[in-house]
Amino acid sequence: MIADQIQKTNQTLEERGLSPDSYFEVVFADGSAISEKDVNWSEFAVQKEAEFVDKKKVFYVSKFPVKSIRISFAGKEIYIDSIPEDAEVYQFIRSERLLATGIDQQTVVGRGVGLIKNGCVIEERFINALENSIQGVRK
Amino acid sequence: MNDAIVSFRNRSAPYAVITSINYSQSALGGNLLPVKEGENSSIVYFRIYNNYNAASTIATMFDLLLTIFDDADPASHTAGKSPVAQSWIRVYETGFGESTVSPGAYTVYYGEDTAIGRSGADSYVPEYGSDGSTTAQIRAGTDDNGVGFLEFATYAQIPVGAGTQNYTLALSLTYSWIT
Repeated sequence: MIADQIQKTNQTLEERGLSPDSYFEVVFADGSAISEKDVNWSEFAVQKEAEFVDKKKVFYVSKFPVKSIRISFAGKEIYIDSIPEDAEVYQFIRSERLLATGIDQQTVVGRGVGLIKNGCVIEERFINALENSIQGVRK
Repeated sequence: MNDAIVSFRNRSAPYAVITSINYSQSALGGNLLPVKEGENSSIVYFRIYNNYNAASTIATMFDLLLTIFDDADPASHTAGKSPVAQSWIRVYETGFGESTVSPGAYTVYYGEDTAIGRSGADSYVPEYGSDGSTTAQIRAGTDDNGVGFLEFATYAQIPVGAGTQNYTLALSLTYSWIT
């Protein structure tokens, strides 16, 4: 099974800089499943450049085929299923560091997930904790 | 992988952590004076480090974006003050570097001078990453256990008619990472 090929982490979400309600859950094409509570995305992702709207950006895509993915963060969820067989899946955490007098703040401000097909992002959804909303684009 | 360990630092030894940037005009004798309307402030240089103290398994910061917000409540990301609403602050990359230990080898690169502000609508994406690639990223060295940085220059460009006032602002760096 694909999930068995991925090395487990011995760190908690909090030790990795995440809150307990911030994680991904992936079901691979063979039906096996993993959660960020047990593994790091970097254990099965590769860097890939793709076009996002009108810009080239870097993404970390799963090197295994994904059937569905769920992202949880800040009390909200994004669930993408029916992922096309020829689409690659990426997800990311968005953080912010502020430089301001009297403020020393580094915060996770969102989580996103998306699909890449033929070198272009065809869908991205983002949980924006600052605006308490879910945003997205679809091509 | 663990979240990046980000620090704003001086660009010269001992690369001390900075907690603020002051925009002022130099004068003979080294006095720091207010910036006159219609003129530019002196340039201030700083570095943004990932993992200055070389901790283990630290994530790459990618998809970097620099902008400014009002400082009154940074969490709300307001853009009501004139320097933010009118993008008076300018920033550009001046170099990059990585190493297994701090401060990291430095390579000069001059990026495009860019106005930042307007609730993030005006933002700066670094042209070169810490590894010298054209990806806007700061790696924790080559193996996630080292040091990476980008160096920036910033100044204030004050428009005519700005009047006399003090402003305090928040510089925002947003980035993506994966565990």
